[in-house]
Formats: sequence, C-alpha cells, structure tokens
Amino acid sequence: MIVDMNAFLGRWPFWKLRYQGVKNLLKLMDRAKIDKAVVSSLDSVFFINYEEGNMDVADACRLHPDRLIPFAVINPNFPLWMDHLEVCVEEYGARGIKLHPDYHKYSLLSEEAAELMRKAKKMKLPVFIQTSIMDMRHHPGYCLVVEASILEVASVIKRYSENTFIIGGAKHFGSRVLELLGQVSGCKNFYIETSGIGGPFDCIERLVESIGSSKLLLGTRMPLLYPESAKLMVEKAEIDEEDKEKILGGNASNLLSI
Amino acid sequence: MLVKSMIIDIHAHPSRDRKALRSMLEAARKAGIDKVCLLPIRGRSFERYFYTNEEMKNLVKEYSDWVIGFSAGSCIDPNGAEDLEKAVRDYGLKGVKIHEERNWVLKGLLGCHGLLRKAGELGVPVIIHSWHEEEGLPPGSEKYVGLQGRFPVHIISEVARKCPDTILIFAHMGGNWEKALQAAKPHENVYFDTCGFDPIIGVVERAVEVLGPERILFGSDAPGRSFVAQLSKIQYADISERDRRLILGENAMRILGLR
Repeated sequence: MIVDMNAFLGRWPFWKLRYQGVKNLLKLMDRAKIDKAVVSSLDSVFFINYEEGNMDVADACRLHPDRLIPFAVINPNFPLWMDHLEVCVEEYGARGIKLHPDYHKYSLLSEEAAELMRKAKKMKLPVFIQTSIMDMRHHPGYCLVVEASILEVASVIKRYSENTFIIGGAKHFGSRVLELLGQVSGCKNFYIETSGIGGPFDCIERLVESIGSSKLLLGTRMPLLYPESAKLMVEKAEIDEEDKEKILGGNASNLLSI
Repeated sequence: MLVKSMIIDIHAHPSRDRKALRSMLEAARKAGIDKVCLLPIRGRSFERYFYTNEEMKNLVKEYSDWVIGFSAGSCIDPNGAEDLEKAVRDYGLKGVKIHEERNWVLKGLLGCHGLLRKAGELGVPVIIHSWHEEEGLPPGSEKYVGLQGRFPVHIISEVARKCPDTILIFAHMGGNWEKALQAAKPHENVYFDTCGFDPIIGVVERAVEVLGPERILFGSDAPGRSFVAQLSKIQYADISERDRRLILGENAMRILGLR
C-alpha cells in the first residue's frame, strides 16, 4: 500500500491550483497510484479562522474514508484551540495534528506550543511540523514568510520524547534535515516526510544510509507538486525493496494503524 | 505520459571530485537522460564546480557519449569574449554559463558585455543564472532571499533587446516565472530552462502557454537536485507529447547544433 503523508485540500493564494478540490486530488492519487493520503487544509493556513479549513477537510474525508485521512491544522495562537482540537478528533476523525508555525507566527518553544504537545501526547496524536510549505522566494513581495527554525524543531523533539513528530519542509529542506539530524542523534520519536528532499541526486540513498528507512515517510505536497516526483524518487532510488516498501507506505501504516 | 525520445539535460554541474561526477552521470543515465550538459561555474564559492576550458575539453573526450561541455564565462572579465571564442573554436565547447559575480548584472549583463555578442556570432547559447527577485520586498528580507542572487526580471528584456542575435537561456525559469515569462514573451532569442526549483504543478504548463514549447529546455541542476524529480516536471506536465519531446531534448538538439 502506498500512503502519502502530506497532501492538501484548499486554496493556494498566490496562483491557481490546476488540481483543486477533492475530485482532482483523487484524480492525482489515481494517476500516481497512491492508495491513501493524509490530508490537511491549506485554507487553515491562510484563513484568519483556521477552523473552517479543518471542517472542509473533514467533509471530504467523510466522503472518501478509504482514501483520505484527516490531520487537523491547529493554530495555538487562536483562542480556544484546544476545544477545536477535541472537535477535530472526536467529530472530524483527525488522526494527527499539523502545525504551520511559520505562517501562524509562533515559536515551537512557546508556552502555548508546550500545552499543545502535552495535549497531543495525552490524545496519542502524532504532530506534523511543516517548517515551510513552499520556498519563500515563490511568494509575492508582500508576503515573505520565514521558515520555522529547524533548531526549534530539534529542541521540541528532544524535549517531548514521548510525543511522535513528523517533520516536513520546502526550501533547502535537505540541508535542514542534515542540520536536524546533527542535533537529534539518539532520538527515536521523529520521522522525516520526503516531499521537501529535492536533492542531491542521491539524497534518498544517503538518508537511508544515515538514519534508515524506518524514519522516512513518503510525502508529495500534492496538489502543489506533482505527486509522481516524490514517489519516483523513492521507487528509483538504489535502495533495497524492503526499504522502499517502508518509505512508500509501510511506516505510515504502522504509525497510523491502517 | 512517458515519452521515449532523446533526453538532454541542459543544466548540470561538473564536480571536481571525479568519483562524484561519475556517480552523477550514471544516475542521469539510470533516470533515462541521454546527454548531460556540464556547466562549470566561475566564482568564489563555486571552486568545486570550476573547470578550465581545456579541462572541459578533456572531460568531454573522456565521456564523449554522455556529456556536452560548456565554458564558464564571465561577463565582467575584459577577456570574456576572447576566452569564449577560444573555448568554442579550439576546445569544441558548445555554450557558455554565466553565474553571479560582483556587479555582474549592471556591468556585465545590462552593459551587454562583448561575451554576449560573441556568443551570438559563434552561434552558441549563453545560460544565465537567474533567481529570485520580487520588487518591494520588506526590509530585512535580503537575509533570507539573498541580495547577490536577486535578479530583477526587467534584465531579461533589456539584455534580449541589446543582444538580439544571441540565444539567451535564463536558468530556473527566470526565478519569478510569472514575471519572467511575460518579460521574455516578445523576445524570440530568450529561452528558459526548467531546472532547480521544486516540481510545482503548472509552471511548465504556464511556460508553454506563454512562450510555446520551443523555448523551454529541460534541466536538472544536478548534482544538487534529483534527476528523477526534475524530469517529472516535464514528464507529468499537462502538455502534448510533441511539446514534451521538444522540451526534453529536441529544443536542446536544435540550439546546440546536434544531430
């Protein structure tokens, strides 16, 4: 089974998405032969009331429970976020939390973030930290968004050893991952989502050699990016078939019990 | 969706580490790329990718089936044009790469350095590094987007106008692709390569809509980028098979004079 850990529903404000909406997302999944996708809301990143995006993702996932798995975007800067998290889990079926500290402008080391980690641990929810969605240079000048600090991500992984983290990024994420790995050696409570690993040409081989395939989760960031890109990078990598199977879906299946 | 035809990577860099270079070329072959244009780079931070013209000639001889050699040009060096002539006539190199240098934009590009005109005379393309610019960036942003790398897109049209006989290939889809494509539209001598940015759905499609497929060239920006991921931008773009073949290799063959 192939599982994409990082797909989106919703709008991208800076250009029109060619594959927008749930029907088009499923079309991309079918084309790329992806069985299931973890989906979070882009609208929740950009709307002031981020809760609305989570509602839309929940509606889409209810219609396609065999294909789509919701993660709830939570903004700990927004009042009553904890109540909304409970709604996302109990009513919307969210299987994890998605954080965008760069757009929502909070520190992962803040007191609110600490409370979120404690809550996530209690609810047994993995926390996906997206350090950036898209290279900041692909933003218009009025909207320069500085990516979240990978050193804060490292601190969080070390501080909350009983939480499970998934780390994703965009611009130069490969370099950020190397920086992260230098800080968190010995930690077992994190995964790296692969959509931001765009190079070097043998990056998947190097990552598997460095941290093993059990720590990697296929992600595509569709419909922003072609899903075939991330998938083919794993399928064509010079690694064992067992490693490919883990990255493409085995690790995600274990993590999410699917 | 996948098209079997000659695939030429117009934009990759030769590592001075020969073992790493070999690995890169083997990876390109495995990804289905028939030939790789090796673009050496001049500049302080890029020694690991610099080859002299003679060294490039020897590299091409060693890997004759795999690689096409370019010269590392400088548009602020007074000998730039002369060096290019020698690179093409004596060493058989097929084009020239210009990368960031101090004052390169104002002094070199906008001044239409002799190297640019010489390339036109010799019939070889100039690949120009072009990366992001957005006018009106907030104060402090240069820390993140880099001052040296800023490349205002109006340069595209100004240089194209001053050097109408030269094929100018702006790398990385001109940086801010929406503006770059519009700037390039009236200038038939301006092309873009697709290398280096994420495989964003819609960029190649947009380039074909604005410019037509004949002015777009596949590139990878290896070794820093994955061949597979960069190829996927063209292989999975919503364009015709004919357009795909043009972008993947036929345009490069035409521009480089290959049969």
